[in-house]
Amino acid sequence: MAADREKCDFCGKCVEICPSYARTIFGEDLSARELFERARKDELFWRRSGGGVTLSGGEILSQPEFAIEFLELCRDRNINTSIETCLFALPNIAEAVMSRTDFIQFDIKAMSPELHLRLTGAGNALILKNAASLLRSGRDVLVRYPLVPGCNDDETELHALGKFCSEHRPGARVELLRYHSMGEARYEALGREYAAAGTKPPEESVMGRAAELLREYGLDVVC
Amino acid sequence: MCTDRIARMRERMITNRPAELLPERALIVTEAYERFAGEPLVMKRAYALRKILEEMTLFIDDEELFAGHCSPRPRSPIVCPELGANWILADLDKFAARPADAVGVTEENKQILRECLGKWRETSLDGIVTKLIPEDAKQAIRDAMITVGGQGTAQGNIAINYRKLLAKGLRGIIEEIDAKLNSFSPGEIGGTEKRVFLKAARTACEAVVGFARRYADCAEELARTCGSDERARELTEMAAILRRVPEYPAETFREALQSVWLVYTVLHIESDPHAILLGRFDQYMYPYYKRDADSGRLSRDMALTLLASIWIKCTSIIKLMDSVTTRTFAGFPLFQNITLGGQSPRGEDASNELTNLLLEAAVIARVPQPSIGFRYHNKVDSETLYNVCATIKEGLGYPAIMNDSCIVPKHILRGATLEEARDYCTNCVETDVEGMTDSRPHSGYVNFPKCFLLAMNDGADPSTGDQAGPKTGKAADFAGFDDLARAFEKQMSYFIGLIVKAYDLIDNAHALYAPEPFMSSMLDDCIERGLSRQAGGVRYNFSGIFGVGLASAADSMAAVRMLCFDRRLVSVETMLAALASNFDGYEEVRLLCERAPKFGNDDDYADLLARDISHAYCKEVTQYPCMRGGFYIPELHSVSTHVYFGEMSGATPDGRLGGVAFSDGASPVGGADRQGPTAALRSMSKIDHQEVLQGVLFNQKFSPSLLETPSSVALLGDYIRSWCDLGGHHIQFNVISTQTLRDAQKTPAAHRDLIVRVAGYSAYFAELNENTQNEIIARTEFAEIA
Repeated sequence: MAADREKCDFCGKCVEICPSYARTIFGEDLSARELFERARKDELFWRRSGGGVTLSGGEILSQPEFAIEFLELCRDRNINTSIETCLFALPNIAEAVMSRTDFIQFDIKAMSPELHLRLTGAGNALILKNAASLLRSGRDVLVRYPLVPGCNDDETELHALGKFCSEHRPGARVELLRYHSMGEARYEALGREYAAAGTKPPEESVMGRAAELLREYGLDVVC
Repeated sequence: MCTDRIARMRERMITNRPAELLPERALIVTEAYERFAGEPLVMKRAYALRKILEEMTLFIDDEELFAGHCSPRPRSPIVCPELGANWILADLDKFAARPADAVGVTEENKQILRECLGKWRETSLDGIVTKLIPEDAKQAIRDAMITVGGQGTAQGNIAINYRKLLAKGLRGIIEEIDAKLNSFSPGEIGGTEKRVFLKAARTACEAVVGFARRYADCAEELARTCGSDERARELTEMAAILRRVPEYPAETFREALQSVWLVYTVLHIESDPHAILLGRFDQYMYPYYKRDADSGRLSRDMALTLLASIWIKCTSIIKLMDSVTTRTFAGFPLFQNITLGGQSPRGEDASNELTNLLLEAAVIARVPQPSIGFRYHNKVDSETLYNVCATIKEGLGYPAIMNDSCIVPKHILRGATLEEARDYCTNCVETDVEGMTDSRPHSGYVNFPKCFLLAMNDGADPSTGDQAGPKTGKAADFAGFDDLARAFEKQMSYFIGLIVKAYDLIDNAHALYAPEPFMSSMLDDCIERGLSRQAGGVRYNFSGIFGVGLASAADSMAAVRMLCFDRRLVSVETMLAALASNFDGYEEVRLLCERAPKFGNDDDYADLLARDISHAYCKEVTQYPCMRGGFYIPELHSVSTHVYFGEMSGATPDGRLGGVAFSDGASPVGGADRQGPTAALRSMSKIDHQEVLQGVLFNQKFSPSLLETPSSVALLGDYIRSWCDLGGHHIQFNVISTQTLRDAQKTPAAHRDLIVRVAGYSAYFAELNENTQNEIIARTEFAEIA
C-alpha cells in the first residue's frame, strides 16, 4: 500500500475500509470528565487489585490543565493515581501536577548535558532541577533509566546517575528499563525513520552489571 | 522420588502406549445377552456386567498403586455392542487410519468384531434410535441446524454419591436395596418393575465386590512372582485393601482412593459414557487424608504419589469415538473432571490442605485429565486462590474457575435446597448437585448463526436456497430490525422444538434399552424410587441444550442492523446476494460487514444483541419438561460443535466466509475483541449468566509471559475476583503456545486479541514487528521447555 502523507487531511476514510487494520488514527479529543468516565469502566478491576489510574503521556506535563482537572476528579473519588513524565517542564507547572498525584514515575535518559542534547534534542538542566527537588520532597517516586546499548550505557553515565540519585535521596528506588524495539513497528506505521534500528536489547549480564553499579550507591534497584 | 515414579507410570501407561481396540468386552456381552435372553432387559444388563467382571483379563501394571483397568491393556477403548454396534461397524476400517486419535485394530480382531457386532444391527441402541428420530429432525440434523445427542452411546456428565460409597461401602448399599425389596407389600402391582430393577442393582453391586476379590488374588499372585521385596510388600498391601473395599466402608486414605477408583472403573465398564465426574474430591476424601496425615501414617510425598497416580490412571482410559467426532475432539478427551474449593453446605470456605495437594499433584502428573474446576466464592482463602493461579500458569489448561455466587442460586432455581446447592460439583462448564443429578448436557446443539441466516431469507438457506426452516417472512419486507429479530426467535424456537421432540424419544429409548443398574445404585434416589437413572430414578433431572455461535450470531445481527436498517448502506437483497456468493464479487460489502460493531468490545450495539439472543433462548428452552421429570435447561457452550456448524454453514453477515468456524462458547469471535481483556469481560457480563441454568463457557487466552513474577500471578487472582464480581458463571485461561504465536504471525487478522508481555509492557502481538514477535516466540518456547 502506498500513501502520500503530505496530502493527508485526516479524513479517516482509509481507516474505515482497511480490512487488515493497517491504518489507524491514533488519539481522540476528550474532556477530562470524558476520560474519567472511560477510566471508571475498569474500576471494578483496579479497585480489586489495589491499582489505580496512570497518566502516561505523550508528556503529561505539556497538558497541565487537563492533567490537573483529571487528577482532581480521581482524588475526589479516592482513586489512586500515578503519572509518568520526563520532567521537562517549568518547575511551578511540574509542581502543580505532581502535588495532585500519589505516585510519580519519571525517567532520566542521560546525565551529561551534551549526551542528553545529542540523544533527545534538548538539554537536561530543567529535568535534573525538577528531579532533584522531587527526590528531596519525600514524595513517592520511581526513577527510571532506559538502558539503550551504545547510547547511554557507559559507566560514566551510570556513576553520575548513582551519585545524583543517592545525593538527593539516599536509598532512592531506581528501575533500569531494558531497551526494547516495540516502538519500531509504530515508526514504520508512521512512515518515519527509526533511528535506533538494529539496536538489540541489552544482555541480561549487562543489565545485571549496571544494577550492581547503582547498588553501590545504596540505591534500591529493580530491573 | 515421587516425580520419577509418576514419570515412569506416565510413559508406561500413556506416552509409550498406542491405543488399541480389543474385542473382549463385546464378546462377553454378546454371550451374556444370548444366555440370558429370557430375562428382563435391566436384569440382562446386570448379568452382562457380572459376566464381564468375572471373566475380563486383569492386570496390574508395574509400579501401580491402585488396581483397576477398564480393559486388558491401558489405552484400550472398550466396545459396547449393545449401544453402538452400527457406527462401530461402519468405522471399523477407519479407526487405525484416521489422522486424529487413531486406534489400532489387528485384522484378526476386526474379523472377530465384525462377526460379533453383526448380530447387534437391529437390537443395538443406535439401530433402535435411528428409526425413532422423526423425519423433520433428521432433516435439521442433515442441514446442520441442530445435533441430537445420545444416539449410539451412554450419556455421562454425572457424579455418583462418593461420600455414601466411602461411608457405607457396597455392602451397606446392598443392605439398603434388600430393605427396599422387603418393603413391598403383597399385591403391590407397581412393585413388579421396581423389584426387577432392585434385583439387577443388587446383582451388579455383588459383582463389583467379586471384581475386587479377583484383583486381590491377582495382586497376591504378582507379589509372589515379582521378585522384589519392596514391590511384594506394596502388592500385598494392595490385596489386603481390595479385600476390604469397595465392599466395606473405607478406613484409610489409600482405601478411600482404591474404593473410588475401582468403582470409577466399573462405571466405565458398565456402559462407557463420557464425563464420569470425580466430584468434590477434596471434600469427600479429606477426612481420610486428614486422619492418616495427622497420625503420621501418610507422608506428604506418598500423598502426592497416590494422587498423581490417580491422574495418570484417569488419562489412561480412552473412550471409542466415531471418526467424525474425533475430527473436532482430538486428544482422546473423556471430560473427566475434579471439583476443588467452594463452600461447605453451611456456606464456609471448604478449601483445605488436600485442595492444595491436588493442585500440586496435577502439575506433577502433567496429563490432560482429569481437568480441575475450582469453585471461587467470596470467602475463598487467598493463598489457595494464589495456588490455583500458579497452576493455571503451568499451561495445562486448568483449573477452570466456577463462580459460586452465580451458580449456587441456579441450583436453587433448579429445585435444590440451599445445602444441596452449595454442594455442587463441576463438569467442564455445567454444574450438578453431586450424587443426585442427571442433567444430560449434550441432549442437543442448536446453530444460532444459521437460524439468523434463515430469518433473513424466509426460512431458506441463502447459500443453497433450500427451505430449511419455517417461513417467517423476507427481511426485505420487514418494517424494521425488530421484525427481523422476531423472525430469528421463531427460527430458533422451531429448531429447539425439534431437538426436544427427537431427544425425548432417545431419552425414552435409553430407559427401555440401556438402563445402568450399577451406576443407578450409586445415585440418590434410584434405590428409594426403585428406578434406574434412565427411568427417572435420580432426584434432579434435566436435559441440556447447547446454544452454539452466540457471538457469531450477534455480530451478524449487528452488521445487518447497522448496514441494512440503521444506515441503509447495503440493501437486504445485496446482503443476501453477497452471502449467496460467499462474498465473491462483494468485497466492499464484506469489508463493511467486517467493520461493523462486534461483541466483546464493551459496545452495547453488538453486546445487547447477544444479551437478547441469550434471553430469548433461555426462555424458549426452559419451557419444555423432560422425560425423566425436571425440564430442559440452556447452556451457552459449544465444545467443538462451533467448528462443525461453521464448516456446514455458508457466509454470515459478520464478514465470515462460508465454512469458517463460528465463535466458541459465549466468547467473542476470535480476534474480534480488540479493546482489551477487561472490555471483553464487560461485554460477557451483559449476558445474564444467572438464567443460563446449565452454564456459560468463557475462554480467555493469555501468554505465559504475563505471569512471570509472583505478584503477577496474584494479580490474576484479583482479575478472577473481578470477573466473579461481574457475575460470570465460568472462566478458563488458555495458555498461548508457540504454535499459536507462529499462527498469529502468519494470520494476524484471526489473532488481533492476543496480548503478550514485552519487557515491562504488554502489547497486542499482531501489532509488533517481526523481530519482537520472534523474541516473544523464543521466550515462550523457553517457558514451555522449562
